[in-house]
Amino acid sequence: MWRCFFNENKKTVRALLVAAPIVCAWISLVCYPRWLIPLAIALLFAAVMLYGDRRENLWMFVLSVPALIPVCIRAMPYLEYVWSYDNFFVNMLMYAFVFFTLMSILVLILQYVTRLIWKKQRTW
Amino acid sequence: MQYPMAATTLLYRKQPDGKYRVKDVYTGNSCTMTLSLVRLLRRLDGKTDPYSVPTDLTQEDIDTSLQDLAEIGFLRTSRVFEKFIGTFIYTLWIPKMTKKLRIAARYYDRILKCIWLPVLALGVWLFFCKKDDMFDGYSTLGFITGWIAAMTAGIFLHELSHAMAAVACGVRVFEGGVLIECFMPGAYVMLDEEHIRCPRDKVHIYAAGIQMNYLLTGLGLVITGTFGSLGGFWITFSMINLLLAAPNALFIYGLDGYKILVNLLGKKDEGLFPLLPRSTARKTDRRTRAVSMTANIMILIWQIALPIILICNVAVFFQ
Repeated sequence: MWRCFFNENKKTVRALLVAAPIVCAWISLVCYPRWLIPLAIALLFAAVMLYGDRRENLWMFVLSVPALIPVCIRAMPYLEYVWSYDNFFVNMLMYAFVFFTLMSILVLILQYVTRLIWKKQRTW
Repeated sequence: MQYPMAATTLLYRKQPDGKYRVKDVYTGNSCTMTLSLVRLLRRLDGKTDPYSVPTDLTQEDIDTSLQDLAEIGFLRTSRVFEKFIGTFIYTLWIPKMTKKLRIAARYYDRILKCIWLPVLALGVWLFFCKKDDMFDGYSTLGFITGWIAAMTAGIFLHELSHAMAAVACGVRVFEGGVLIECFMPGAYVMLDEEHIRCPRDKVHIYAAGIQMNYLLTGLGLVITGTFGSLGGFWITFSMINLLLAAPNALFIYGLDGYKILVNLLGKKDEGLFPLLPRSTARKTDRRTRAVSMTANIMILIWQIALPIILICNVAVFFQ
């Protein structure tokens, strides 16, 4: 029965699986359950494993950026010491700078782990 | 320099007819030479008289050869090299790939790889534990000395880490030194990047510089947390190193973070638009093309947004 269901709704299931980590991450931002963040990362790897098609790092990049936005937003208050200033304009610029830096580092870590797991991939 | 010196960025390749193809990796100029001329060129280090080099070339041959080599740009008469207005390069270090250097590079690289993250984590933990005491006794003198020390040590060790990682991976390091690029001071190392076959080695080499800056950041924070900030010296030292490391990890064209990302994604060249689909990519299925296009758009947005944010931050900092 399940197989029949998956075969009939292949595209929907695929779209749901790909969207699941992003949705999980955004729910964790709105509703604050912390356990959703590791779940989102696990789902990212699951989606990449299922649909990577020997381009796992590319898929990871595309999926991880929208999924990491809420993670970074949640992490920013912990780094308030770095970006918090009296001037609103400076505050905003420093927030953006720290946010993008954090996101770059997280993306690079995920990329590195993906490359460690899936060593043989197609080049571009 | 008393005598002419051969450019450090020359690569020699033997051809089937016994002659050598010599290419300057930096300028892209190349020409074919005989073995005796290659021998002469290899001995030109700025200290050796070209006429004292034992070759089968006559004095006239040497004269004409030196003129030809200078015309192609294979010879240097000074350690200072002007690229264009406001951009100067001063060569400080021309490494010789000896066994000792290789062993030293391997150890340096391994130690760096092992300790940068624990030291950084310890430093950050100490910072958050004692953040109220971290800025005790902060003075202008401490700030200025810390800033100078961090810039000097941070920049030089960053480049040295790139060089050591390259040597450890078996990649040739042409030279290292200081530069003024568009009136901005800095440092550089020239590597034989064309011949790094393995993308993993490339990632490793590009990441080494950032790792070193993070290590220095962690070290500064650990010292501040343990012995005090020495009038703000160590906290400034660590913050400046953090400012050197963090923007370097951003995906801006030319920075280390961008190069690491491109190599991790598996793109062969490191052009400005690394994921634009090539002719082979067009043959792939619709899903792959869509993913590639999305990645392109993301990279493009980052390329536009990040430099603007960075420039605004620098402008506000100097205000």
